[in-house]
Amino acid sequence: MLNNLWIKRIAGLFKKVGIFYLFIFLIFANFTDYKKVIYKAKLSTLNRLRPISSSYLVEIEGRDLRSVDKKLLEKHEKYYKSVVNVLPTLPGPYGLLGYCQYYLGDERRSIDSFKKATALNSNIFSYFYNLGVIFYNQGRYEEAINNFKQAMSKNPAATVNFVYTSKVYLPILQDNSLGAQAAISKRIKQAYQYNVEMLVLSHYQLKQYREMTVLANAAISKGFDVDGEFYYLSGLAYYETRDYPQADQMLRECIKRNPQHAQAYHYYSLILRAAGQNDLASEFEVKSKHWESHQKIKHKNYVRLF
Amino acid sequence: MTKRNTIILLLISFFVWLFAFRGFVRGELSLQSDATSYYDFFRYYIENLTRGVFPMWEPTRAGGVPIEFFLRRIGSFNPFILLIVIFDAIGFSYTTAYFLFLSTYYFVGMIGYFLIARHLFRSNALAFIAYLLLMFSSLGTRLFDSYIILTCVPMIWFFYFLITFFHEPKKHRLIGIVFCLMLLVTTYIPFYFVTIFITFLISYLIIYFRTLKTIFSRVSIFIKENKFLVILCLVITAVSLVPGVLIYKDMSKGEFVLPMRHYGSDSVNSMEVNINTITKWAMIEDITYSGYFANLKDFKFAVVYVPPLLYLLLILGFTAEITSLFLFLFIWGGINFLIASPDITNLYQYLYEHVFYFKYFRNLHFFLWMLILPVGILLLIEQFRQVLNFKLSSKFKKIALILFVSIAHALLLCFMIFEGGNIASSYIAIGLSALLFILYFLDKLKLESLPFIALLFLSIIVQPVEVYNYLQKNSLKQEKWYRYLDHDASWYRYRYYNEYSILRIPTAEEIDALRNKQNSDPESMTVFLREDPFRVYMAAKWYYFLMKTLDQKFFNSYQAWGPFRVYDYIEQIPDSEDIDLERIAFAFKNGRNVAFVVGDNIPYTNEKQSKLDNEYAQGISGDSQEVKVLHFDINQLRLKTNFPKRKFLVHNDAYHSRWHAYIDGNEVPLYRANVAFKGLWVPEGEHVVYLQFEKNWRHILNYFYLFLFFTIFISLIYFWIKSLECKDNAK
Repeated sequence: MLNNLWIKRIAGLFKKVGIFYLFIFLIFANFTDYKKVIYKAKLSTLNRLRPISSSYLVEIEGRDLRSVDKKLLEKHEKYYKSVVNVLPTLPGPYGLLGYCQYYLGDERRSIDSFKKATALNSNIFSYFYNLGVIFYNQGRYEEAINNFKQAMSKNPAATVNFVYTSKVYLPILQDNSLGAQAAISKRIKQAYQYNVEMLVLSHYQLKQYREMTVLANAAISKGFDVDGEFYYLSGLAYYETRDYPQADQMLRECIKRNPQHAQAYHYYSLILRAAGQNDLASEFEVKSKHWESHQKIKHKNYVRLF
Repeated sequence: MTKRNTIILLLISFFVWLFAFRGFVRGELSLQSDATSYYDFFRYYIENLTRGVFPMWEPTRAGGVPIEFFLRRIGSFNPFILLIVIFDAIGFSYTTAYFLFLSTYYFVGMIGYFLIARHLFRSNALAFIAYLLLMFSSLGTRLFDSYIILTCVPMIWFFYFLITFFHEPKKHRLIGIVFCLMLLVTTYIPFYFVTIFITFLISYLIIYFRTLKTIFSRVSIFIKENKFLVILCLVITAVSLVPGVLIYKDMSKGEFVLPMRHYGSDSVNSMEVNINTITKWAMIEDITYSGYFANLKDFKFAVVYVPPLLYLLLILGFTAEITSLFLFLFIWGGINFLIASPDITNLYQYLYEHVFYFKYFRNLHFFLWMLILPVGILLLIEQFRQVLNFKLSSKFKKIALILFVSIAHALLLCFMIFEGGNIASSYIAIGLSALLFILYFLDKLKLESLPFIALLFLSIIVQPVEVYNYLQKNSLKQEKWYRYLDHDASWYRYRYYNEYSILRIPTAEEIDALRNKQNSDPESMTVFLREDPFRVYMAAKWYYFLMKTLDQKFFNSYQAWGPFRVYDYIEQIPDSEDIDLERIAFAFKNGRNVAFVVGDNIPYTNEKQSKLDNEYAQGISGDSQEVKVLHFDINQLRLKTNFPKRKFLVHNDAYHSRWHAYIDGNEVPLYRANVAFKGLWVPEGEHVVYLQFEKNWRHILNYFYLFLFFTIFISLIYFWIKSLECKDNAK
């Protein structure tokens, strides 16, 4: 009697919807490669999740963080988070995620993302450079130097090729007319120049003037100098080590190449003052003040798209 | 629930729905995605129709295209379209009138769904739950970014009339079936319906095979009693297939291209879609995509969403027993799920290869919205129906059930918080629902009572109203650039102006001028980009060929010559893409006095070629001495010509073989001239040249269909009212 009751109860269970669903689920789990199906679906959805235009990413490059439209940028951040989630072995999405996080003011996460990007591909210049910039801004100069040096050792062609062929960068290149390889090369060439400048500045912050002069002079001899900046940095290092004749020469070279370089005028005036040429020094100080007020400060310590 | 209360609640829920989408309904927010082009085409169609012209040609898209394809997409014979005209006449703006039409049409569909549920569950309350769940699901959002609703509404009603007809055959139900069929086969795209209907029959046969005999006997008695009506209905159904067959035949000729849709397909028929295009985004992709929007504050279009009560019905229903209805709905939904999920099984691939019509429709994810969602709701209501009927004989059972209900609610709440759906209304919805179920199982509330319905109503609508508020916040605020709004750009002024202006691709300056106006909305630019040869959605074949192959500057400069070009000489070119385009482009650029014409035995071909270098073609506007436009509309053009000698006249509107030319009332050959345009020889002296798209019978046929659809619709209402009167009298 009892047995019959239990048999009925167990048989009754198989009529229940819950058991039916479980049965269907088990069939699916066993007879379909559902992980592959979901992965493929996630890949397909990525394109649709992408914000309509990526031009804002280019727009904010180098901008003051306070002027960034966080709501808009969060959409991009969310998208790259999704990409990272689906494609965790690709460095590009991590790099772009780090870029978004930096401009959203989240430096800690940005560092994590760039570090993951470098771990996945250690041949890309931009990620080391960006890490160097963040560390520099945080006053972690030793780490900044380490990353700038790493960046400097990378082959620019590898980075150009990486950006040019990466699917995750493709919409950015297309939306912003950066699609030509020449345009990418130009940007990366400029970034290399900034990288050396930032490296020199990091040494300056640590009062490592000898390293400064070596690097700045090497950059000059390699033709990196475009607007007298390396002459200025070299002159600055000589000035700090009180090697005034060398400083004088370098700063004059800087002014020759960039007659609006306010800092160069300033240090040049200090050298003149040390040499007792006060009138001339005052004249250069005035020039320094003049150009300082006219100068559009060109920040270089910002995280770059690539 | 009384009939009166039911009607009041249905109306209230509709007004709440309208409130939830107020930004769209008032026209403050932009339509998205495909909904934009549908808005445009509805407007184009209605504006022409109200001026007495049934439009069959669209001269402003890619140099001129036949619009049969889009007329089918919008379901041009649907009598409900009249609502737009009525709302417009009342004084609403076109945009608002259009949104009100969409909303009303959606409401009509939901009423049909309510009636289906009521028929299945024999309960107004359960039917009302089903209705609310579907109405406030994100199916409603698809009014503003898709066109699913145009197919969904007649499909819902078709199934309502079908199942009630099987149950109790009546005249109005048969007419209803026929009317819905007429709408479905003349609206884009009937193949979803065909698949859903076939799978319905299969599922029905599997589960209800034994009932077939009874149904057949009921139907055969009805047929015997209503022979004439049945034959008439069959004839009308067959006749309503004609527009679909015509468009299929026209598309098979390959004269009309849909490059973006047709991409990758080898077929001449431009409606055919490559299998990779189809399977790239199917049902699983839609569901996966929706998963990214678990945070309801980010809610967007095309995200699958249902009120939280549905999840509770799912959990509570685990304890229900499997019924025939449950199995039928499960099998029906399941088959469609497998068809629309090509990554799970190869069923779709098999059908694509072996069933002809599977090549002609894409967007497999539409099955999710059209079938899985409504059928899934019915399935869960069926589970719920049993839960409500549990006989709680002991106090222990009652407490156990209440505990189960409480745990289910707590689990759902935790899930929502974990997934990011923790908006204020989620808590209210779950709280109200818990209260509702606990009171019900404590016998404090009755299923059909007003307090039960009121509490249920609140628990269902509270979250969707907040979610759709986020949707509105996340949508484009300013009015989108719609194609047929009056605009400053001269190229756009084609409609009903006294002067006849050429329809052409805008020049770079015009585009810039428009860009400056529209630069605040990056999406609006896509409207212009579609004029780009690589983004053309539809075009006449040869015009598209010219767009693709000829340099844009050449093309624009040719177009800039005006609506007509007049030549003294013509040169025959082959009817293929293998032509010396460089030479032709050179001739265009230099305005040489020779037209390049395709055709056999064209008179005066290759005459006096030697003089060509010193002679130039003549660009003519529509109000010159030689050519004067007497009348034009979208389908035709009447000119008075007065040339001193015989001329070859090229009208720079895209060529299509269904254009016909007449001089002084006599039909004359119309050639494909200058690769993509229309041309004909015009004799010297005064003549009336008349160009018309399509023969007269096609125009008459369109009006006949309009008449037929309206007549059947009115008959349906008449017979339905008559049936209700009979029912009342019988009572």
